[in-house]
Amino acid sequence: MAPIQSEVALLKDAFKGNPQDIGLGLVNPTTGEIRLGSFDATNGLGHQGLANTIGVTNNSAWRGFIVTADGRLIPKSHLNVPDGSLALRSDLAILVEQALRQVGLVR
Amino acid sequence: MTQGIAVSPELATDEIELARIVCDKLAKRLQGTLSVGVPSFVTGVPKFASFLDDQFEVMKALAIVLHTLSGRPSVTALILQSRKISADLRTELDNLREDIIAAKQALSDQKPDPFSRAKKSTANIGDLIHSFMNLLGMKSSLGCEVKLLAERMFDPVTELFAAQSVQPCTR
Repeated sequence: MAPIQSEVALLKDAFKGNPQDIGLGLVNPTTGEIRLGSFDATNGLGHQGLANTIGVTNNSAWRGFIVTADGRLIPKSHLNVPDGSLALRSDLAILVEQALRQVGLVR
Repeated sequence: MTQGIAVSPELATDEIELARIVCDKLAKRLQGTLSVGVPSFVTGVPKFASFLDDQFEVMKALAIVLHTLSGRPSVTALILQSRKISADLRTELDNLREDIIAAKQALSDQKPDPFSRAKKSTANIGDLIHSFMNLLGMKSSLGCEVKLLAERMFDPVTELFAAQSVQPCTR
């Protein structure tokens, strides 16, 4: 599922304003839904802050990743620990990478 | 612990509300800092040193706001006790920052439980937040949530590092 266009635009704007900012991402393994936000925009609260911002309450149903201003996907988050480690499950990492590449966030 | 000091109605409610908001922000920013910053040992993102500096600067500023709590002369003992806790909080934040930096080297040196000191500092911060809120008569699980971070945030990084058999990123 493609990420929400408005969140993609906001993240790109955040990167333009501060290239040191970090893109935070959540992916729902069941639905494929992808949600995005910037670390600064979550007031430094991390993936949990992003979840709070967008109204996600069932954290255990979501996994996390990071995307950088220079287009790198870092498929690591504490939200992934239920799958065995910080690393995002490889099938989800592929799904996320493809989706973010299509919207120009991953190069 | 309040050590027998009762919360006085003369402590203005806006002071208590400010303290509640700041404690909440501090606890959540600590979670964000650990959840994004500590994995950077392995991932290289974000840039470790500057990220840590930025986050701890903000957290210490929040602790300083807690230090500004004030009230009428009748609550002086309470205020002084709150300032002792907020000062300890700043010290413990400094300790945690140093412990995280030391853990990076300990990981590289393959020492057992490289985050042991960072876990202890994190738990101490949880205790101090709990004490501060308890002193002001606030019921909250924030302190306990911070203590849980000590159990949740560090070991997965050690495991990932071991699994990847890589050196910590130098940035």
